[in-house]
Amino acid sequence: MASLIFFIFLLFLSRIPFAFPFKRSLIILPFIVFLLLLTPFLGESSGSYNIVANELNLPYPWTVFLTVSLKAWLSTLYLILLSSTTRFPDLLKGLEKLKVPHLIIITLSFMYRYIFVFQDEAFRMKRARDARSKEGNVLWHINSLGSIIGSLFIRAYERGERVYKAMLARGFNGEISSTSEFKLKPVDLLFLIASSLFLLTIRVIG
Amino acid sequence: MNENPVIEVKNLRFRYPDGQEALKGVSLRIYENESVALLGPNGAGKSTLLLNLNGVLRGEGEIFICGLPLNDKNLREIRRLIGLVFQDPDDQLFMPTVYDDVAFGPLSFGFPLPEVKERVIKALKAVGLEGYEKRSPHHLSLGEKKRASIATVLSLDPEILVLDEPTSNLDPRGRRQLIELLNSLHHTKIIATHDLSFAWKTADRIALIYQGEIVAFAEKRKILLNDNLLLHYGLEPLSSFEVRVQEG
Repeated sequence: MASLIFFIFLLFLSRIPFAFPFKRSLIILPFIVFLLLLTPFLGESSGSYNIVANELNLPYPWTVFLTVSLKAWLSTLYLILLSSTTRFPDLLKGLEKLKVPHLIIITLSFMYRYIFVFQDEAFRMKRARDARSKEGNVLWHINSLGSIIGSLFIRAYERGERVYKAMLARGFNGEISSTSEFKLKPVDLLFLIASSLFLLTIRVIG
Repeated sequence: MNENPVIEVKNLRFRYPDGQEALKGVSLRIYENESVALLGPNGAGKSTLLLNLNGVLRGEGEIFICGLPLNDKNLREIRRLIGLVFQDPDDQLFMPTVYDDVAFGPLSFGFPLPEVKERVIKALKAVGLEGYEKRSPHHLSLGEKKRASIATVLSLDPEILVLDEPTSNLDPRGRRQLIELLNSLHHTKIIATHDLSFAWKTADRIALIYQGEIVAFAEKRKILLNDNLLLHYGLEPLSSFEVRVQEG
């Protein structure tokens, strides 16, 4: 509950449309439904859960269900908030400051750079297929989808080779140095203090 | 024209792992500040030759760049001296932002951060992309991508600019801007292309490459106005219109 209040507080600060993250968070609905299907098969347990659901005196499986879905939902909300207020390159720089291994950051950065390129490529191939496809033949469609995925893999591989050559040509020697020049601004400090105070207050009152 | 060639290639041979012989003994000399267009149909060996110049591909034969022989010891220095721009900007621009991409070269060569920043700003200015630092390459137009690609090598302050098919897929405006940009850069240039009118507007000399061999290398009028020669080697003669406009 505290978490939700804090989220709304942040949402207010972020100046993004209020309903937006909630709408986007519906994406986890299928997972929750899946969880719901499993819930009746959960056994009894003596473990105690220190969360809101526990106060409702529900049977154990439902406590688990509520806890897990609430946690998942809240995490998704925070993720949406983060990704809609922070640009991806800034996120990467943040991760770098948090001492996340360089290799992972480089991988993420290439992923971010090329995911749209591949998406475009896949889309063009699909359109080329549709332009000369027999209509309504499901089996044939599935077949051609296989080829599309296959050639997408090959193209990705070839692009990787070319990108590597381009990196070599510009003096790549196994390390990507960064230009990170993030500094803590007074605003950031203020934000940190305000957030901590807010969370502390909730903790004390709740 | 300077007496010492900036680029000297002697009897370069290159064979791809699949056995295809892409270069069959190429020799050429290119002098300071001249712009050479490497003309030839697809598969003639243009890209292979360019990739050999900075040692990304290694064939047999000798290559000298600014007097330095191409070997393991000089490899890094040679890659700094030659700025190679690939055909597809999506290969050339692989970092999340334009700034990071242009800074990639200087950072790889270990320049201190303030200097890297200076170089990036200068390079972006040279290609007319001031203020694009934070943009993601994915959101640029193709013309902008091409210019950003050139900035990524300008930031290393190279002696030689090498461009592979710079006009492919460009619309007329992008192409015109690219011609202006290239003519404003006074580096030694090698431009691989099969766009003859582009070569006419940007090059001093033309090297004609066909099936892995240099079949002609001369002043541009001697080649571009020789229709029989062009047709014989799989290229389309320039329309007289282009030349008339150029002669003005």
